[in-house]
Amino acid sequence: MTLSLYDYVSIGLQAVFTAHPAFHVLGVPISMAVVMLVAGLLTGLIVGAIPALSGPFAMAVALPILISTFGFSAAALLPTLAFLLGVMKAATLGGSVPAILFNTPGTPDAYLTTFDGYPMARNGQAGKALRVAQFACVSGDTMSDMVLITTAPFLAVFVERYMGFPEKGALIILSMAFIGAAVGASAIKGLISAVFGLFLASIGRGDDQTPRLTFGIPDLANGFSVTVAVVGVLILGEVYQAIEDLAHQHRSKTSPSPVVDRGDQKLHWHERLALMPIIGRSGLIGITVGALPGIGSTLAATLGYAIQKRRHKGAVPMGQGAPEGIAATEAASAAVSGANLIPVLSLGIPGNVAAVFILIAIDTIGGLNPGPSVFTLNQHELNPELVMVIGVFVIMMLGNAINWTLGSMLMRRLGVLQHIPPRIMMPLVLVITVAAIYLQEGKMTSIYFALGFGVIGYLMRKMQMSGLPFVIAYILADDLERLLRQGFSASGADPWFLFSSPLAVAFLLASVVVAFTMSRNPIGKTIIKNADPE
Amino acid sequence: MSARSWNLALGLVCVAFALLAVFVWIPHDVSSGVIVQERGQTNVGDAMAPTAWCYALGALGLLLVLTSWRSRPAAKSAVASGPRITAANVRFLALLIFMLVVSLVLMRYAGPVLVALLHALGANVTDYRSLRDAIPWKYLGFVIGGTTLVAGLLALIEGRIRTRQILLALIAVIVIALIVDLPFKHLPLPPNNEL
Repeated sequence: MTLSLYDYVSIGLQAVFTAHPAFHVLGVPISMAVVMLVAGLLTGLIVGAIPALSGPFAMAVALPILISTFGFSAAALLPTLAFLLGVMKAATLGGSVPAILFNTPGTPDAYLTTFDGYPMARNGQAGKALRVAQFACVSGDTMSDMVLITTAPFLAVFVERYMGFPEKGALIILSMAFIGAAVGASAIKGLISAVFGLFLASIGRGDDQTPRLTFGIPDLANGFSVTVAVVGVLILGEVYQAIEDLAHQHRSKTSPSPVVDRGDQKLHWHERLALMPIIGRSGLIGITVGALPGIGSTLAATLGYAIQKRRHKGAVPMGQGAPEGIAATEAASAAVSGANLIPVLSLGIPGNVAAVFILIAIDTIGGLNPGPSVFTLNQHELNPELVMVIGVFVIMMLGNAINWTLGSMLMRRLGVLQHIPPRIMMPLVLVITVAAIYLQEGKMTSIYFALGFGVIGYLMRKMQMSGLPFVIAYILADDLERLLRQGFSASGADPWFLFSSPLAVAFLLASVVVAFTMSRNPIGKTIIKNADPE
Repeated sequence: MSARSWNLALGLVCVAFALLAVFVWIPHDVSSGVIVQERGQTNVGDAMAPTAWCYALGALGLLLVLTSWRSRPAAKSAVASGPRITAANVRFLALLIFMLVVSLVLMRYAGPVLVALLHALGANVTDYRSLRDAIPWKYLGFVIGGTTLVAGLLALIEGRIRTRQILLALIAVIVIALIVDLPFKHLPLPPNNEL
């Protein structure tokens, strides 16, 4: 039997829609993957609409629960990824709701949506503003997913064909240098954050019989779990910081006046067509930014808005309720999410926080090893990884379709979540995170370690060091060390093996150039200024 | 302290940590060296990676020291937004750690201590292990520890302790416990997996 791409797509569709049914409706099986996708989309919309929370918060809390629930079998991967991808997709959409209705961005990248969204709502056009945001957000997301589906396989094949141990090692070093230099207030501090992550990741793990750098503590024999380190630094560090801010905050007694709809709130087809070029341009900006590791949706939204402002010819000036402003911002920030998965699926290198949690899920559950093997079209024997990744692509497109319909029905109703006070949310997030870590790890020591990593994350924020380079380095540390060990052995113990090919030398030179010039030129300064804080 | 001084301090901490790790921690806590000879082959040892990262950390720390040393002092407005750890931050962190420790001690030991107490008073209970899957014992540690943590943090944020906070925390933590426990029967709440 010969398996064609059509067969693989067919099996991938079956894996999403019919495998492992959660329940039946009129005799039709509803698969667990679809149920989890809808649950993830709803969760993402809700957390995105609550100003104190964000998509990565929900992903961090949900990941241990999902892993504990579905286990480590290949069948667990699609439902787990479906939930996480649903959260990732819908959080951006949810973030625009309080930005438009209450002038309060639900997520950092929705800040620019307030510029035109809230004035539109004040002018009685809240319903239309929300529809513009939804149209732009889902369009940008869909564009981005299509680029992911068509690009990732070619990138993975290129990596396999032209890269050996030295090139792959040098590429990881380049990615970390870029992330370290691009994120946070200073390139040197970003790099320190990355190297500190590499060092802590080396605790416990190694090839010797005796675990290294453990002080003889048995609980450290396998090192700190990736979930514990990542959730601690990124999520708990942020929670501690938020609690401190809330404790010091003198809360303003004034609240934005309620918005009232006046006139036609529909977004007609001619209006959608007029927005399409803006969405296309911003979508391309978001895709380009998203494919680069470490920068994220805030820069994409800023660039999308700035370019639209320069080219704007609409009836309403930008900043005073122009739908084009909302479309430019939302399309750019939404287009980051799919493109961010290009380096994840083709190289195993995460580019932003959401991608970090997707990669942790893939690594923890197993059954899918990001890289060229995923995209190998094996004609004589079924490649389960290709089926799985086709399933992931199907889930992403299905998520977009649900966002088109479910999103528009729910967005206006989500405005009520604005009234949940962050001072209650933050302590609860802390307790839920503690419970989630215990569910996955099953040890109180894991909770202690996570809370300790939270203190590290808090102190890093105080010193204006980003935690993102730390966690990405922590995740990649094992791969990097393995590649360096194998490269050294394969070269016959050549200490200069990393410089043995022109491509590896080019990557290493680029690492040095990025690290030392990023903060010294106008483009680099713009990237650093607008990079996501985490 | 100015932002420049904080960066200088951070750089010095990195250099000191790297030196300590390279000369004390790694040699005493890694069984193999940087390079090892195995069956006539030269391979990378377990000490290579941490040593290399420490060299990089030390070099970056030194670079931070030099760039901070050479930079001009920032304007006063920039100091307020620059890197710094104030006495208020330290006080907050100390209070937070205290609350975390108290809450986790309660979470870990409330159930076993209560069972031991009841046993000592003559009640018909044996040990916590045999009760940890039964209501109310399976929720006890998590609810007591979680309520203490949430109520404590609410009090920290609002600057005062109120009965309303405790009630709110209790209800919220019970709801969380039920949400986790009811659909996921096989996943024990903290600390029941280990006791």
